[in-house]
Amino acid sequence: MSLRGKVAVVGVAEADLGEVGPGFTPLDLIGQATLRALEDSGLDKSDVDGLFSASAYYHMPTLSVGEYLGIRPR
Amino acid sequence: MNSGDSEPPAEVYRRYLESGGLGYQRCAGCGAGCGAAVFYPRVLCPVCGESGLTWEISSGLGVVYATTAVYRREGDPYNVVLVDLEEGFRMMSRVEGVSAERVEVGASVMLRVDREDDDPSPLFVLRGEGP
Repeated sequence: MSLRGKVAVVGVAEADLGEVGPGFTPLDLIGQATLRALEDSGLDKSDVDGLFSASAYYHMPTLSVGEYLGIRPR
Repeated sequence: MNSGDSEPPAEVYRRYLESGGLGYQRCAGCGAGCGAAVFYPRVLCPVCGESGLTWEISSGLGVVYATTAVYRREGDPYNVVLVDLEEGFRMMSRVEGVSAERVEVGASVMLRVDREDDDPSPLFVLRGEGP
């Protein structure tokens, strides 16, 4: 089984980098990047049905990110 | 790239708390927002995904949705609750002023900002009873 032609990267973005200001949480930055990636892709949050996350800050980050973004993967 | 066009939500929340108010967000999104009450504070609406969240102050009046008593090795147990605020958001907190086991689901509570630590904390007391 091949993924060729079935999977594509459709939106890419970064959160603020460097001095982002005191008080922005890692989840806020993930939220920033998500907003920008969705804008880049032309998709709405409601189109998202999967979520993958990695973090050096949160334990089991996908749970926290899913709650923050309001995304409930299929 | 630093946008710098918005303050950190946690900072705004903290400022409201220091002045005695419980701040929460409402999804307004240039009029196109879904109107959801959003808590805890964040940079986008978890319901519709809009970034235009505006700040409002809660009345501090709510009803206990869930409650539990946490027993420590020493000292009295403390209470942990989920409170449904009348503006339509739910938050975790503690009900103080009564023993932990006396807090019941459905109890009417009101906000009391605790200032004993450096960071003010939003706690609750039972309505109709003194603090």
